[in-house]
Amino acid sequence: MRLSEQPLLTDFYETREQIKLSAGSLYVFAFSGEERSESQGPWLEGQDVDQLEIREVAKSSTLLDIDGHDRVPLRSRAALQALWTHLGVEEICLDLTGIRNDVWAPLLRAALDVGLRVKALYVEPAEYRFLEKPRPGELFNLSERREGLDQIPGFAVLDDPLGDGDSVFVPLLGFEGARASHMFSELQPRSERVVPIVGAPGFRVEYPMHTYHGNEIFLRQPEHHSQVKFAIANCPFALYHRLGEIAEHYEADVIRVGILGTKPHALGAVLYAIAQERRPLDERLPVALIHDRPIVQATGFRTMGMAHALLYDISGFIEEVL
Amino acid sequence: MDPTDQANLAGEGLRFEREEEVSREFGAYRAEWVDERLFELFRAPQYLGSLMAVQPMVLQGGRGTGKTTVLKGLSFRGVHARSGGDMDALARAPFIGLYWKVMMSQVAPFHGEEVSAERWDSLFSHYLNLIHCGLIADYLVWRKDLGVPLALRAGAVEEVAECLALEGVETLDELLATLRRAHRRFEVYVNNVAGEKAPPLSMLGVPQRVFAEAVCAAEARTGSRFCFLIDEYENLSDYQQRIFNTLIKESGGAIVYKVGVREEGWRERATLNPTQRLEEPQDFRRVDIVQELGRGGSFSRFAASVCEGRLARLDQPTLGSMGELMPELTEEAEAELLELDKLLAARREELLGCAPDAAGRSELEELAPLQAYALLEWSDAHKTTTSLEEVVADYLARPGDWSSRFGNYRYTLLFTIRKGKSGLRKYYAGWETHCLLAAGNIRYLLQLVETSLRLQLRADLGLDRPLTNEIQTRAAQQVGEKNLFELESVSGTGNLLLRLMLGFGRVFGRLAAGGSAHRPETNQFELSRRVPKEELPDADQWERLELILTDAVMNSALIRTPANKLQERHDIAADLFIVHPIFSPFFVFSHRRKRKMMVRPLQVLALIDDPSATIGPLIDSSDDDERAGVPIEENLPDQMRLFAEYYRAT
Repeated sequence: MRLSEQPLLTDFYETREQIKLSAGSLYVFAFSGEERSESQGPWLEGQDVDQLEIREVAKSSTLLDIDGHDRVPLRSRAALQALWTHLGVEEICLDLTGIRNDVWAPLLRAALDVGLRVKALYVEPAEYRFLEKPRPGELFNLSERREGLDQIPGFAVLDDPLGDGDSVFVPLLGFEGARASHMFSELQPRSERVVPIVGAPGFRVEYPMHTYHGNEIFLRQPEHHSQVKFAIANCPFALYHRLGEIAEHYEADVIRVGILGTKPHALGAVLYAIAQERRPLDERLPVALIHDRPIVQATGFRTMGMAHALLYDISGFIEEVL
Repeated sequence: MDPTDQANLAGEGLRFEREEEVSREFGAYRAEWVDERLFELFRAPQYLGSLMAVQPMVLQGGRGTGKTTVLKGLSFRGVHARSGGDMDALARAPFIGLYWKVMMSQVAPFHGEEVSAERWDSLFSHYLNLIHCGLIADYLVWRKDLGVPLALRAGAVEEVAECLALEGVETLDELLATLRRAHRRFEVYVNNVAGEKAPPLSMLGVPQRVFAEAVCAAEARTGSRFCFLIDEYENLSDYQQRIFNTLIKESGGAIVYKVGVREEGWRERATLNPTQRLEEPQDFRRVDIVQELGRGGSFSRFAASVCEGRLARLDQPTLGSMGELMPELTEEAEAELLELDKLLAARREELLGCAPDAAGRSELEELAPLQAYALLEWSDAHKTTTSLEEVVADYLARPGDWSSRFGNYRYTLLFTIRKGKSGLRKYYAGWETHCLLAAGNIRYLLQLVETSLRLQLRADLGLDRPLTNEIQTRAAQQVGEKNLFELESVSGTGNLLLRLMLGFGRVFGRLAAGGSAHRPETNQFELSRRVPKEELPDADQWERLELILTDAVMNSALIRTPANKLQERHDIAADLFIVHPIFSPFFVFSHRRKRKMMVRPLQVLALIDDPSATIGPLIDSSDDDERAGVPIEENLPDQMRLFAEYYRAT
């Protein structure tokens, strides 16, 4: 197929207001408190779309309160599939901006399971909050503390003494270096099997530098900095392919991805895990999606404003890679 | 190229190679980083013998104290590797060690509201059974790969399969394959725990007992048993610890346990039987690594053997022993390095002029430099209440009292000689001193040595001469700083932990610089019980305080001395806390365990939330007239200048 004929999987918009969703589709969102996750506004007016708000997530993040529906367990693929089937739509737009990673991931997979056309939306922030009193290695005021490591619900990979050979740890780096260091100190992988990924080019030209600066201590560990790989910060597909390269190069028996960076990168990792699931058993690579459940700052929000909006054709991509 | 430039380049290249070599040998100090070489570098700590006892044991120690290395060393792979591949060594070992590390991300999925607590008990029990059987199976596979397979008695495989509710299993190979499938099936179930029907679950402890007995019966040596070496027990949640405690309580025969856990990490003593708990010494024996290594210089000897083993592997000239490489620095020699002679020269006449007569003057002239300085310093520190003439007169009248005072303040005086000046204000040099800085933590010790060696090479000085005092001190500062920043990463409260240490570090550093204005070497704190009612913390504040202090102890930021050594859990209201000595060179205070200050509970939280408003009053409460009014962010040691903004009042 000629390059000009190949489908474009990402639509890029200067502002969210420019987006026109497919008529009759369902727009799924959650309000996280940040301005960019607000669904209200002129951009949906006049569009022939229904809206579905995810209102509340139980503390253990395993049960959802979805507007107008009973609580839905995230760890029941059948229940999530039934939710989508019951809604009777053919296409959804999952706005990842305000939905937590551990919530949209199982929802996304179930939507693909039942054959919906799935698009994912992400709105970049205009800027992140700088610390009032910055310290070496910590510039941004993003999270107060972490609840501890866990795996994305429904995607857990359990320890198998007979099965686990060589694993590779791939932290998707954000700005907060303490999170990567924490995950590293908990998982304790061998340093030569650690492959950090930096989002570059970043949302803004200086953001990759912030990533290096924020993760300075982690990257100073033996070999980490020399093994860094890059993937465009707002492109899940670039991250997806990067994971494939890493898995092949390191001949991993299991790949442990640290979900610490951008939402698009998290999306890429989830798509990679979904794609692996769909492979024949003897070709499948277990993909552990590990997150640290950060508790965001109580005072004020992590980000301000809105910048570009990106609409990803998830179904189109899955069809392409499988 | 100019021959001089060529020579310089060659020299730089050689230096770079040598630094790389030092980093390779000393820089890989985590057990997980040195998989292949772990057992080559292994040095048996003196408490290893006690771990060979066939009884349940709990090995307690913070990060970097060597728990993982020791537990891995006890595993069958470890014993085999350390003996150079001798299967007889394995046969002679008191048990077959099977190592398993509890990873938080692995056990966290066994929580959630979708199923009841009782159901989680059953599910996690079954998972543990699968893990245990998988570890035994892994041992059998290893033996088979080495060409020394074991043949289990007839029917044993079927019995194990039955216990795990596995069907269609007759041979060992079928059991291994089915175990893997069972594991994957269980994983799918846990990922759909709210929607799927559970696979058949097994009873806690039963499958592995049957399996272990069958394998041990097949071993050539009678009395064989398996020892499950469970690392990072603290990562289990409370209910999971109760389940595992049950396994430990009911162990015996072919199975025994040894558990590695951080201090404060073993939160539960209860078992699944509400009337039974794990009791010491009936059910287990505890080995506290730091205490064991602290007996009679044991840590110093153990650490020396670890370091000298790595030194011997370097392909460059080195001194052979750590004592030679890092000779101790006496207080007098340190005072000289701190340029006390210049200070005394400048104030000599001021001191001698206070003598009442020629005899007094003669007595003053005979004082050792530190003693002479002590008089000057005492006068400076108490200038609002006493003059130098009065101090001299008091010394001449009561030399015995002053002799005692010299002894108490001798070390403290060293912190004051260069206070407020740039450059080093205190030295931390000598092998024994660095062992004290590490305080039983072999990882810290290796960091100190590695950093010192690299700095020595970088200064174009070889390792075939003693490391300079300055280099050792700068290394100690760098290691303290590195571990300070790493606190953020080691726990969920990391940012709060870092702020706590920045607060106490500054307080103790300022107290040290205050010299005789304060009680000497104050570097510990205890929560004050004399607190006005309106300043008592509420329930949330106590919880937050408990969380942070527990985390600090668990992550070796603070060392706790319990008020009651018999208590199972610490009582933050009664215990004594010391800032880990590894941080003392960075903040510049004493690394020796000496004196405490009382701190109100809310002041600890305020140190985290509002340091600039809290540090000053804490210091002032030590009756430090000179310090009153001096901003906290001023007079910082060079290595702390980056934190000036942090300490500045908003």
